[in-house]
Amino acid sequence: MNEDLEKTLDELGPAYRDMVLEMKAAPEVEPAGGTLAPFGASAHRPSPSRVPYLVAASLVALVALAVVVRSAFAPSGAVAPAVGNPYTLAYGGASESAVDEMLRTQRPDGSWANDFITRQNAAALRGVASANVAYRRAVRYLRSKGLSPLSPDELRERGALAAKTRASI
Amino acid sequence: MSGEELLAEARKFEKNLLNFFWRQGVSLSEGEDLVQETYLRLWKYRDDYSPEAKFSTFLFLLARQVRIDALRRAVRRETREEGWGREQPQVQRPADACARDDVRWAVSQLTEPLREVVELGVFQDLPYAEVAEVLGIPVGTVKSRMSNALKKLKEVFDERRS
Repeated sequence: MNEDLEKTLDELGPAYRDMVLEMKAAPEVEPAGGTLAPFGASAHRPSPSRVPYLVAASLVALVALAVVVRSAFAPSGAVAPAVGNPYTLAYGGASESAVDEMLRTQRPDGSWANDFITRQNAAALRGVASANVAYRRAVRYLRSKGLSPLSPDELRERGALAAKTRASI
Repeated sequence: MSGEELLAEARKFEKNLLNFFWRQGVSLSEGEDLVQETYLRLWKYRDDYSPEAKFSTFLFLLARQVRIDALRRAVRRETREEGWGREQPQVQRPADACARDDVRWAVSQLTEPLREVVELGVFQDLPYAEVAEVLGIPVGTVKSRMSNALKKLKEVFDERRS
């Protein structure tokens, strides 16, 4: 009890002190665990009860990723041609929608949001028949800036990084 | 102190804040919302916090404002819904002598200015100077309100016991 309150209670008498002590000793409501986490780093810490589910979800994501990677680099012709493009990894295997998205978002000058994305998208569109025009426009734009599309290795690295990032979420 | 540090500090007051709202007649779930809103407001005004000031003062200042805003929203809602037969929820007098609800009910019998002083000065154990700062009133007024509030509370408890 703070000094100020002590003084007030001294003035009021012992009955008041007992009352205040009784009030302060009364049980209080408890916060519901885990529901009041503020935003910020601590907010993303899963509650212990959710950990098994998160582990299971991560395992499923890893298995799915392994299947996609294996299909993408499989030598047999069993997989769809576009899936062989490493860039599709960044789109979770939805190669056609990835190409559509790139065509839709390409600027009139052949670029995308920034030079890196333009290099990446140009590399991804290389060899895609339906995107031949878009590819050439992108390469023309890059040449005008002294740049070139990402190399296959860079592209593969980028796809793996994107997949890793997704799996860690 | 960074925003994250302020939030971490605020987390230590989570139970205090929840009870601060709950004892003022707010339901538990709404109280949890208000605690969350207090965190959000703390984040919004993190740059206004000066390390020389006591953190609890700053936090309860924000919490009080959150409570006032919630009351205003409730009044506006009530006005809008007037004629629909809806009433502002009141703290029910507990049927059984549960000390926790008993205290809450007794505190709810006080007027708002007295209730705030009791909440901050008794339950949150803030010195009168801090209470005065949170409420924006002179320390002398805090003293007199505290005396009046305790007298009123005694009456309420005596009446209930009799």
